[in-house]
Amino acid sequence: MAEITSNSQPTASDDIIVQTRTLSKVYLDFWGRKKKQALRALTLDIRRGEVFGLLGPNGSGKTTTIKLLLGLLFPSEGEAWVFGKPGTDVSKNERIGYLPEESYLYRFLTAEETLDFYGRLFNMPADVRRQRAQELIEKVGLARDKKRQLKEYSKGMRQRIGLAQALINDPELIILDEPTSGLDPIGTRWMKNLILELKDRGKTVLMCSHRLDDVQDVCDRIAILYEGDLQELGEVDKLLEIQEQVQMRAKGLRMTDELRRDLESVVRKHGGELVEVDHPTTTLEELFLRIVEESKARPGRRYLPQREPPVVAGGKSGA
Amino acid sequence: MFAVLIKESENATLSDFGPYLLHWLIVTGTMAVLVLVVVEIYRLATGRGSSLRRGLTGRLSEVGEQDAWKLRLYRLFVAFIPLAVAVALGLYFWSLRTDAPDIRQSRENLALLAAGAAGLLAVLAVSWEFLLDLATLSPRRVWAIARVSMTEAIRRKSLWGFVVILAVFLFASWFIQTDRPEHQWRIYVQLVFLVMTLLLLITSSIIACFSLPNDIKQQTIHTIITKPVRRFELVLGRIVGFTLLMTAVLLVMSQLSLLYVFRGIDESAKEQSMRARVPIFGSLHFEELDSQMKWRPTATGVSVGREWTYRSYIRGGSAQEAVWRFNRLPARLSRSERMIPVEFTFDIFRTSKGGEDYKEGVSTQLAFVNPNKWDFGRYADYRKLLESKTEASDDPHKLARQFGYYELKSPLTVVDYQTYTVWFPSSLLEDLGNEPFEIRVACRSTSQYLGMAKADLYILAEEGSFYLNFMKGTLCIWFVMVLMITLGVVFSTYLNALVSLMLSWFMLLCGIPKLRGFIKLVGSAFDPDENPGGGPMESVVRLLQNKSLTAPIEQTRGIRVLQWMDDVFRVLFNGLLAILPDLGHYTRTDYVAEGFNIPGTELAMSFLILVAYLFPFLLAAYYLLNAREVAN
Ligand SMILES: Nc1ncnc2c1ncn2[C@@H]1O[C@H](COP(=O)(O)OP(=O)(O)OP(=O)(O)O)[C@@H](O)[C@H]1O
Ligand SMILES: [Mg+2]
Repeated sequence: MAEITSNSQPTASDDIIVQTRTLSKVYLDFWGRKKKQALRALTLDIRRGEVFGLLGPNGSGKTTTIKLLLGLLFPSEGEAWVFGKPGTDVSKNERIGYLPEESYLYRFLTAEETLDFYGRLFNMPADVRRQRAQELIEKVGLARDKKRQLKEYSKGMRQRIGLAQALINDPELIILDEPTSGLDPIGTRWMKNLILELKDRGKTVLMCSHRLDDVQDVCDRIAILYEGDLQELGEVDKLLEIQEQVQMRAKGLRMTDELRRDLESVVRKHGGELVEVDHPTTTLEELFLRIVEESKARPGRRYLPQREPPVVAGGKSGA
Repeated sequence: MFAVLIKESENATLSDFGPYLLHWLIVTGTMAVLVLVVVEIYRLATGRGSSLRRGLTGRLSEVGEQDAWKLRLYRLFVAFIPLAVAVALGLYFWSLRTDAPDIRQSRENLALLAAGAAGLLAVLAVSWEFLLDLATLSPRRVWAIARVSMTEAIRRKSLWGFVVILAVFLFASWFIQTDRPEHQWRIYVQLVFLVMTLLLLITSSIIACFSLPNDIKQQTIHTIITKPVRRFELVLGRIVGFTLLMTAVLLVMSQLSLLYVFRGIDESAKEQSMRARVPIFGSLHFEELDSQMKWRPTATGVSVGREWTYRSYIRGGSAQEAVWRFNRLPARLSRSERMIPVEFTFDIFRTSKGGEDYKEGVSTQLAFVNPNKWDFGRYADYRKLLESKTEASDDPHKLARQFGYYELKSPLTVVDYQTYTVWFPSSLLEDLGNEPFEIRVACRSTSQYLGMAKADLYILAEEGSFYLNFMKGTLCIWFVMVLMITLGVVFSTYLNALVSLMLSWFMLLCGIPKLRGFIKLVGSAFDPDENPGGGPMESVVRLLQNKSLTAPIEQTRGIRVLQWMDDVFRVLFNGLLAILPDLGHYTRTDYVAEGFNIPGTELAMSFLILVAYLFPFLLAAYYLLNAREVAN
């Protein structure tokens, strides 16, 4: 019997929750012909306790990445591990919560029945199920509608019950595919707070979103995908720094050309008070648009792993 | 009265389980070996990039140290398959080297056993991962999915249309017209069973075929299989859920149907027909008196040229008799001294037609023989004692004990397709030794022929509960329902809903005994024993060469290749027959319609056959769903 010999193994580290190595996905049609290369050689690690954001324009492969991690799709090349296990291993699912792009739930069930059903899938005993369901229904604010079938729910309400479903097992890793889509500003605020709360409780969150302000608010690190290529990867704060500029905010003085030449000394000399000397930041939106523009101009991979030292010592395969 | 139960083939009983299992192992094992070979070639050819690599043993090869025994056992199974096959072949060739038929037979049996062992190993190897996974299934998860499936079917109102049809069917009695009460029961029972079967199968196959594809299309499956759910639990949960739901429907339906039949038929028909006879069938052969006044057995009687060869005929007024033998009759029959009923129904073939004769019927004599005691030479004595108006002639038991023989005082006049009951004394069954009890039938009317088949005459052991029997008939429908639900769900793991639906109905239709018989008939074209002209390839050559079927054909290399291709055709055809279900194993509803009890052992055997038949399909569903990218 031919054995499958993996040349790369997941890094045995408790701190790396999600790991992909040259993960690629080609969608094939029925006859095995190539329809679309949705993801190309993605290599990244997600560490315990961080909120990781996947960004990219429509069709850039964000959802594909998530489905590969969850075993809903099989990789064409490369590997993906969650908790050190491949996508097809169901035992990892005990510790994962997943909110799909749209809440694909049984519309003929009520909110209560839905949570009870998913609780059963985690093999939870009846009393635990009931308690968890009540807590979560309270938490997502559906207490008044819990006896209604989901087909009567609005988009936002479905998103909420979808989130409750993802949290039924108190997961360590929560994967959210566009969690704020369909939510009003208040709902968005609430969702962001919830993500931050999960982070405070030591959970790891992987989310993808179009709403850049959301990502900027909650994510520790982001990856930007364009046409299946990884374009940028790093900590949000660092990525938004503009290295070649210095911003200074001063109080009690008028700005002159002279001033500009000798900033620090001039501030003191004029008896002003130095408040802040820093690299100014752009908004994520600007960064995002710039990367997309550059990627269009020069197709192919922009992000090179050398720019950031590999997170894991021992990650064998490079890009 | 009743028409007769047509039993064209023997029903499987529990004692057939051994041979059936062996057959199953060999057939399934052969397919398993094919699957093993194909999958291994595929894996070698495509390397590790395919989704199928998770099949068969892909996952096993990734197990840790403590689970390494699983992979080792798998390799053991695979390694021993060629060994067992070699042993089987060796035994077979060894059996060819002897001329003694019984030695050859025993060696062939050994070869079959070895082949069965090879089959078992192959089945184990192919299903090894599946079997290991079965142990990890969680009943709570399966039940959760079963519940949701039921809720879905109910809330989506798939069953509504069904209720409407049921209502329509209840009005159908307006259109049933039967003038003769003896036929009412059969017509009503056949109607309700047919309607129940159709409604049930249509509904259950639709909900079974559409459920999984819907899940995949509406992507509800995404949130489910990202929970710790084994994919096979999805399959099993669906099957269990739909089966439970449709079982409830079937129960309600059967009670309604019974009520409907009850209200529909006349009082007299009820009295005559609502029975559950427990018959004991014997084996039938024919005997003729030869010139030395010795009974010489023949396998069949006379053929009167009827197209349907189900019945064989004896000539009236000749020394020809039909003999039923009953081996090992149950002891309870003769426990108390009584008269035991025997029922029979014969067909009459007349050579002189018309006039009064037609109505009068045919004179028929029945004799009951204990061969251990009876001596044909004492017939004259027996007759004399019987006709003497003494004590002996009044007490049948006394004569029976004395002679080991009993016959009707005067022959019975028998009319076409009428069921008659005669009685014989139970004391006849005493001291049978190891001899079979015999019932002999002779026709006394010259120039008439009396036609009979094995199931036309039987000892009526007892009357069973009629209601229970009706429910047993319902259970037979249940078997077919489970078959359809399972096939539907299994197909829909890989095919889309409509294709699954059509495929499962196609298989069901091919499984109807009549159609299956036809397919078999087509298949016999490939069988050199049945068809002297050879298979299709050889026949073409004969056509071109203008040779008759029986003319010897030159054995050139080309011909040999063609003949070999015919052999391959035959094997493929038999494989096809093995894949198609045989509904004859499950349908017993004609028993109920004719008022016969359905034996429990037959039902048990039906169930075992059902499980054995469905196992490879479930296995296929397991691998197919695991290998499927549900999000694509
Ligand atoms: N089942 C499929 N068959 C063929 N192509 C697909 C399939 N699913 C996705 N694709 C293609 O793969 C690419 C990536 O799709 P994906 O859904 O991962 O994008 P995304 O980043 O999630 O986009 P969005 O922001 O719109 O959700 C797209 O070009 C899409 O057309
Ligand atoms: Mg998406």
